[in-house]
Amino acid sequence: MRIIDFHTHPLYDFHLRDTGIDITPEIFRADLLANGVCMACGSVIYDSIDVRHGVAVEEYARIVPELNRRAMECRDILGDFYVPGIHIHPAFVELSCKEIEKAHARGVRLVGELVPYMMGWKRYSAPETVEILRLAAEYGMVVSMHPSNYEDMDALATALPNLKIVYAHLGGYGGYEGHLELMRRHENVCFDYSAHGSDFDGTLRRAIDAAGRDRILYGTDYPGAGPAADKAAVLFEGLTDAELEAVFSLNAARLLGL
Amino acid sequence: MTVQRIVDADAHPPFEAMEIPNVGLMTQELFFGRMRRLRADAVCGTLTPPAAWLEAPPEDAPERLNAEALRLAERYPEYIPAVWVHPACPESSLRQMEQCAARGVKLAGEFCPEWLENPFREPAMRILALAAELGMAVSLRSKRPEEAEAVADAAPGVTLLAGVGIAGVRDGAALLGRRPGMYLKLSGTELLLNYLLHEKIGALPADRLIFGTGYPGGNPGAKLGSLRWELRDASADTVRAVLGGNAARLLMEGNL
Repeated sequence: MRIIDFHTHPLYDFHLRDTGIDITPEIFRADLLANGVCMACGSVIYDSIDVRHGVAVEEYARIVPELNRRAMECRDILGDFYVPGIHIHPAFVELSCKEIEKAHARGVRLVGELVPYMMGWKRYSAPETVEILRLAAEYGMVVSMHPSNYEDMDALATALPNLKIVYAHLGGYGGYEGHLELMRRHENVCFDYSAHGSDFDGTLRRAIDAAGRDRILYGTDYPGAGPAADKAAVLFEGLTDAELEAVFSLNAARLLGL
Repeated sequence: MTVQRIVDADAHPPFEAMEIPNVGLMTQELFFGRMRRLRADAVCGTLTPPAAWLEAPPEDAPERLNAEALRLAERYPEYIPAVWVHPACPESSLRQMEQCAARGVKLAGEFCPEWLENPFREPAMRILALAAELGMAVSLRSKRPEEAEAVADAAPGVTLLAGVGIAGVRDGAALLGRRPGMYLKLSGTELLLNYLLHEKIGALPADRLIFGTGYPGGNPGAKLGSLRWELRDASADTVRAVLGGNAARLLMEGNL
């Protein structure tokens, strides 16, 4: 069965100290291929860009384009295996809009995963963020976002009903019931399964029963998490073949036009 | 072809039907159905008591739980019971350990490291002393090496199955070198961290690593899938030992 991993992060080095392994683009591809993944999507992140390490917010005017440039470099190395996602930052509206335009011109169709907690911003529904993401919606781009809180995620989906939103980490951060409710309320909202979908047995089964099989995308957060756990967890959920196909690849392919 | 026997050594069938998030009512039948979906050849652990019993069990809680565990083992041959103990009911716990040991039960649990503090220290020490006397292993509800080592210090003669988390696996070779009676129970987040076990497995004594899922907590498929992946470059003997061989040797030989 074809598997598209919607949520990955090339060049991620957060566990380097624990394992001593530098996940190069080549290792990234080999590990995901070995787990049946034929295509991996997502943004570049690494430890040194984290605001929690003392990076000043002004620095992101330099860091955002740099991360986006490195995502394109990864695409050059990995070819069609990698679907790059770009970063934006609401403290730099004009710069972010230019990054979207530039990326779109190069065939990029994904924004994110956005990681505000790592870049010193909070609200998706803030006017600056909405202004930037309105442009993404006009270009038909998909936006992948780390979950904030129910009210904020709901407000963004309401403000931009044409924006294709994939919130990350179904069930994560104590938000499972709210995540189901967001999918019920907003046709433009999906969730990816990565990292926290497999925290509990039954998470996926219940989400599909509540919102339909077209609303959940397979993802792993690799290499932040191992590449095998989420696949095994999905297979453990007792889904039908049609449900598995939708989650593993069809939903991501439909949204991204792959 | 090498046969890999899977033993889930940290699985806890419900004493009575209980509500599990997203799954709904978890019955014993559903529990064992899920374990069969995992393709576990054997399932070992104490029963999951009603939540209120973890803090304040009735005096006869050990009798009731362990009688049900023994009944369940007759109904589900893949179930290897462990004896449930609690220092709030010391006499009942000690009696149950002796009776279950006579029936071939090899494991007691889930021993909480905080029981070594008052008001439970004295009965907890009696539980550990009896485990040593009976040659019964004790499963710890620990998450960090220091918690497990505190119990090992208190009861150096007891075989411990200890959850030690990411730090415990990272430094597991030294930990197990210091603690010859300790096994690492791999059933938590340490299973899921990319490349952790893959990089450490060569340095760890493979005969002292034991797989478990903690079910009905978590998704057991994720844990088994992740473990298999992390062991992808390990020898067939190591994989066989970690997935089930060690648990079978320690907990099942001579059991019910």
